[in-house]
Amino acid sequence: MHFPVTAGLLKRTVGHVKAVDGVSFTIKRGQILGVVGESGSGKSTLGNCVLGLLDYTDGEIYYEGQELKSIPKKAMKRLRNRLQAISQDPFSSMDPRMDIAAIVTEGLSIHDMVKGKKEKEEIAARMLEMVGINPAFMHRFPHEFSGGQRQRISIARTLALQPNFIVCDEIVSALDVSIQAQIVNLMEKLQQELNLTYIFIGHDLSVVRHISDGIAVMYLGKIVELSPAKELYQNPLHPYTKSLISAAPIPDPAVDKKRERILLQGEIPSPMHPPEGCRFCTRCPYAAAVCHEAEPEFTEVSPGHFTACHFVDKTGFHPGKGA
Amino acid sequence: MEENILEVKNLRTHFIGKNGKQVRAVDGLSYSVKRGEFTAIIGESGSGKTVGALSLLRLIPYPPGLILGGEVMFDGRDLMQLSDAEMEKLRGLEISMIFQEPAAALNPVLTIGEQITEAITTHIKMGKQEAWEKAIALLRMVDIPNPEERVKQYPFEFSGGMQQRAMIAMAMSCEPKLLICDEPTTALDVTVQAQVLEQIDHLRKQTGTTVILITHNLGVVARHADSVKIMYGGKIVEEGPTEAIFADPHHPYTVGLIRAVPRLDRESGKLFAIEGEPPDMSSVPVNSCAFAARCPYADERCTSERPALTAVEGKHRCACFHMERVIETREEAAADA
Amino acid sequence: MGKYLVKRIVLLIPTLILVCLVVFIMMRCLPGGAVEALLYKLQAAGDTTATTESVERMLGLDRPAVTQFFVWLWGVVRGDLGNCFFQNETVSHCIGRQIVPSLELGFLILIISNLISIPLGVFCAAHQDSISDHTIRIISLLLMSIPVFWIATVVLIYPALWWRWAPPTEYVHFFDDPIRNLKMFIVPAILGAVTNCGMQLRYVRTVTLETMRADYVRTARAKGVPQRKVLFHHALRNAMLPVITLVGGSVAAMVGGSVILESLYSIPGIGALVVTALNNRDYPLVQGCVLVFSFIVMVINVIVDVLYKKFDPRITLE
Repeated sequence: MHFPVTAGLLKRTVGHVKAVDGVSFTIKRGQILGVVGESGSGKSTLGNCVLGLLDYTDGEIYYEGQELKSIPKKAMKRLRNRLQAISQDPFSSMDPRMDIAAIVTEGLSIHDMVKGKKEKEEIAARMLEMVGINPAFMHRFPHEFSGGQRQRISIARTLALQPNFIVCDEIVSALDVSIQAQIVNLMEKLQQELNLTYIFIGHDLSVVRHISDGIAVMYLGKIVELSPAKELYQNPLHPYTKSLISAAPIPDPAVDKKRERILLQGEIPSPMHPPEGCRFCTRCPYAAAVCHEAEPEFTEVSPGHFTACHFVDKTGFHPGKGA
Repeated sequence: MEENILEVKNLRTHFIGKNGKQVRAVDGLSYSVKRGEFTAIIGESGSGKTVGALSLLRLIPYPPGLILGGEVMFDGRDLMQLSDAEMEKLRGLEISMIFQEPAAALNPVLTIGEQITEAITTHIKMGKQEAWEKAIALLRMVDIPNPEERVKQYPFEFSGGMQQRAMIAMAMSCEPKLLICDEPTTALDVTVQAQVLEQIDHLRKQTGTTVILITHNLGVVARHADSVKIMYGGKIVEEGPTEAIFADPHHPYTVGLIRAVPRLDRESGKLFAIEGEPPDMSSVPVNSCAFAARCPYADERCTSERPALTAVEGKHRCACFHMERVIETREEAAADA
Repeated sequence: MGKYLVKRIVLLIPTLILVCLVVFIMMRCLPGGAVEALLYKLQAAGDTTATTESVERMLGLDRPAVTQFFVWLWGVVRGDLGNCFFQNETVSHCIGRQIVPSLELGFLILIISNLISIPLGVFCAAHQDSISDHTIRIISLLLMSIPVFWIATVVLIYPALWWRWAPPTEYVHFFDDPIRNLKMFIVPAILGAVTNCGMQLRYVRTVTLETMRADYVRTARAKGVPQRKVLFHHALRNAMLPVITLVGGSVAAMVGGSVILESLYSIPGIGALVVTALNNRDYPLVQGCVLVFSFIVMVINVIVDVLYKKFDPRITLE
């Protein structure tokens, strides 16, 4: 099945902040779309829009062929279970006085999906087992678990609702390296076993690249490049992507010390006052007059590889053209 | 440049936890750092890497923490034997430190200029105007645009990256012999992280300051460090030149750590995940390798005796009883991939 | 800053009008009235011609309530708070006379209380868990629990019994004879301060401890700044922010809340005046007092906000 989820031209206005502006992409069932960007790039806003948690100002989001806004409230309530999110800090969303069995099955009670204590405990046990938490611990409380275990519990809670689409927002960013690998492996295993679809939001390019099939690079509310994951490192087109890749060191001195370095000047501008023309022009080492005047088109350069830069055409990146 | 500027011997810093248990945060930490070197200390949360660094400067809050013993030879003096007043004179002048969250590490009610000049005038006799001029020069040195105006601003008017640059300017104000950076870029965005680290490296080359970088980011280490020390359970488990550690890790923890990080430049396959959780340093037995509970090679010896650092090759040292088996398995895995 | 102040002062006007309205309505809702009380008083004095109607007319209570309100409000705008029902003087004059000693007492309590609580609170924080810290905290807990009327009585009685000494009971204006004036005020002021400073001391200690654990304090220590200077230059400045709010809040309570001390030490203050006026249903006097209180509280709020700005650059006054 193709194109179950489509987000078309969404634009959300928060005051005068265009957190996400003119973003279009599609995700196929069972695929993982990675979204990378720095703080203020609008990547979390994008995730919330896709989930239908934020009212988008303009544009359409299609989920399994249906536009989210056109779905009646009652049907949307049922749909909510299928569209789920996991966040960076699961602890803050757990009631400290509830044991983890109750936390995992909380959503089921809200949606009246299960009644009866025994059935709930069975589900909790199954879910905890699936994420690698010993079901014997199901009557313990959140504070008795470590950060990595809490993230597993939060995944179990999400899975209990039997979603098919999950937005993972920086779910491994706060974890230690060794624990991060455990969670990434778990997410991959679950995706394969349950044929889930993810949007995997992160700021660590190597983790996002590792788990994703396709990567969207965001900058100031825009997707500046969308590419198959494997192609992004080999053939980055947008100057921002290039600098992002360059800024992410490779944990192997033999390789890293030979890499070309592009150091960006300055920091991401405030989304309140995005620059005219190309959003990246204030920090771009190749910026020319045209970049300050016109916004570049988001175009497909090679199959599945899109970018929005004045200096990119079918033959590649040519700085200085039209300057 | 073979002379050691810093030698830490058997440093022990413990905390009394909330439940009254003694947490052995730093437990027999020993290492040395060469003058002018860029050394990285890698560790996960709870490994004692930050406590170890704060202990060098004797900045452990008491209660609940206490430095129980050990020797810190810095430039020919044992810092643990200095009086409080002597220690105050040394901090900021000979050893400086920058911290993880620049927004919290700068005083919100004082201007950037006031905070930098304070660092200068605490140690160097200098007129107010002269110190102010120097603060501006320092901000210019760390590439802060328009320093004459910026120096009058408060920390909240700076972005995260600029706050950390201001911290670096402050730390470098008295040209210290040693700069300790405790996760200086963890709170920053990727492109800003690269800028800040590049800045630190650049200043080191310019001034000859020795740098100790505390981090959990292996990539950052690979890019900048000359030598690496890996901390686990309050002590060093492996150390050596950066190239040697990444190409030929001997400790099962180091091997696991390197294989746990996905690579941007190639397919990583399934990530290697070290089982279990970082140790709780109040419950690990004193006479046990702290990694034993998570180690696939652990046997009885590992839980009854603490392995000491032994030389592998040149400066490369490792604390493990099963190094041969670790390397065997590592090479098999590499051949499979 | 100037613009902000003007804006704040202009905003005081609608707030004060609202206060006027609320007080006016609340007074009329009280059971019993001034008319009966005054009528009884007049008849007792031998005035046989007085009737309910004539007294009402005399006090202006025969008109509809809405008219009464606007007449009073118009007076307030012109600075005329009306006449007292029971004394033969204007409300402004009456309040003006009584508020001076109250303000003086409140001011003295405030100063002494802060002089005790801030240094001791900081001292306790700097010497956390030492013997002196524990001792001071226990004493402060004691002071918090002692009722002011009890300790005030004790302090009034025992010196009189033992040394035949009591503070002067005749009020003299400060500018007439400052020594005698202070002799009268010093004992109640100290009593008010010590009973007030217990909580404040503990609060100062807590916020100072909090700021001493802050990252920027660690940074200052890492710079080599001596411990004492770290405490005063870095920790204390940040700790003062919440303390200003606390002190600002207690000022209002001190101006109006020392009724017990005022009555025990024969200070002709405004506290006692309000209580009497309330009992007599002296509408204009009560309304006037509440209005003045609210005005003082509002002005102090403005001052606190301005001070806050001075201590915390992150705050923008708009």
